[in-house]
Amino acid sequence: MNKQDELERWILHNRKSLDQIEDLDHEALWSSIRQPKVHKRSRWVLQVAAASIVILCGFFAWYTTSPAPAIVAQKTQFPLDASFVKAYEQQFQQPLTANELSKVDHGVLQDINSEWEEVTRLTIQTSSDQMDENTRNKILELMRKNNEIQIKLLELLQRELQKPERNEIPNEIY
Amino acid sequence: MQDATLIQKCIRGNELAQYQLYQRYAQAMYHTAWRIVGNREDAKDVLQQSFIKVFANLGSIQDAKALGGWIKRIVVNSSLDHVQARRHWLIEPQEYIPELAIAAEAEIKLAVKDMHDLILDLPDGCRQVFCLHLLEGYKHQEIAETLGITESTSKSQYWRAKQLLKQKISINEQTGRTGTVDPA
Repeated sequence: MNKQDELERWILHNRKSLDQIEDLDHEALWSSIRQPKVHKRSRWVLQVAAASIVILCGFFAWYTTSPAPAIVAQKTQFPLDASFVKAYEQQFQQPLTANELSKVDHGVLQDINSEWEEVTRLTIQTSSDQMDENTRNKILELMRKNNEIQIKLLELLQRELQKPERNEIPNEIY
Repeated sequence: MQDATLIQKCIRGNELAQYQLYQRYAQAMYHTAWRIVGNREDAKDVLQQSFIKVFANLGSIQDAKALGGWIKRIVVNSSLDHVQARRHWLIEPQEYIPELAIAAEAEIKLAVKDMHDLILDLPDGCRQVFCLHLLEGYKHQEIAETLGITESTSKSQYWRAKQLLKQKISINEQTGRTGTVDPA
């Protein structure tokens, strides 16, 4: 270095003091070094990545809760007794598919199915041969009524399937 | 603890040793970065990035005695990278510096804090050259290579920084600004 002038001598003489103008907050900076904050340049990349994750999570949530055909088939096939499905198809000469059942409110399906099971149970109980003529006639009348109820249930489901709005719940079953 | 021992412990992941190394150099490096980038917040960002680089590359250091200089070079380079977007100083017009206002060899009666503020008030380019040459010990040739300028430009910017500082000191003294005086 060339011959120093007064300014240079003064600054070099006070070099250490110039490095002590402000005490550094060592703890804060050290913790930021141990857990580095996101560099400004890459911040937008992380924002895009975060947005993508949110979108993916949203899609996953929608996918798992949406009425996908396969899932609906499991849910809607379950509440209807197999004998009901068979009777419906014979009565109306058309298949009862899981896809179709997905159009009907789940609560309505449960109501129809529980009524169907109840009527069917009574029909089986009353078909025993160990009874007199009078009782048999009464039972046959009951079975006829049960059969009417069964047909009404089948028709109810048919009406439900034909409704334009899938969430409409009837006030009464019969 | 010797630098060589400290380095080995740091490389092995000893957090206490890493903190000791950081503490040994952080204060001075903070002010080095501050004078180059021009403000304290950017200086802290630079220091953070610099020490992350230091710990990531500590294994590459050959001579433990060169640790201080090696860290300083990382801090200086990081500081210059940080201000690179603002490095338009080569086309700054030369200000007219009235010769009469400069008291070349007069005794300087100024507080260190005031000198620090006056240095920070210098235009970016000449401030960087001035700090690198006088305070960090860079030769004009090194500055020229680092900043991508010619050696003569580095020298002229250094001269310009000194003239501006002397002018500001003179004005400072004439306006009676006082502080704790730190005479040489």
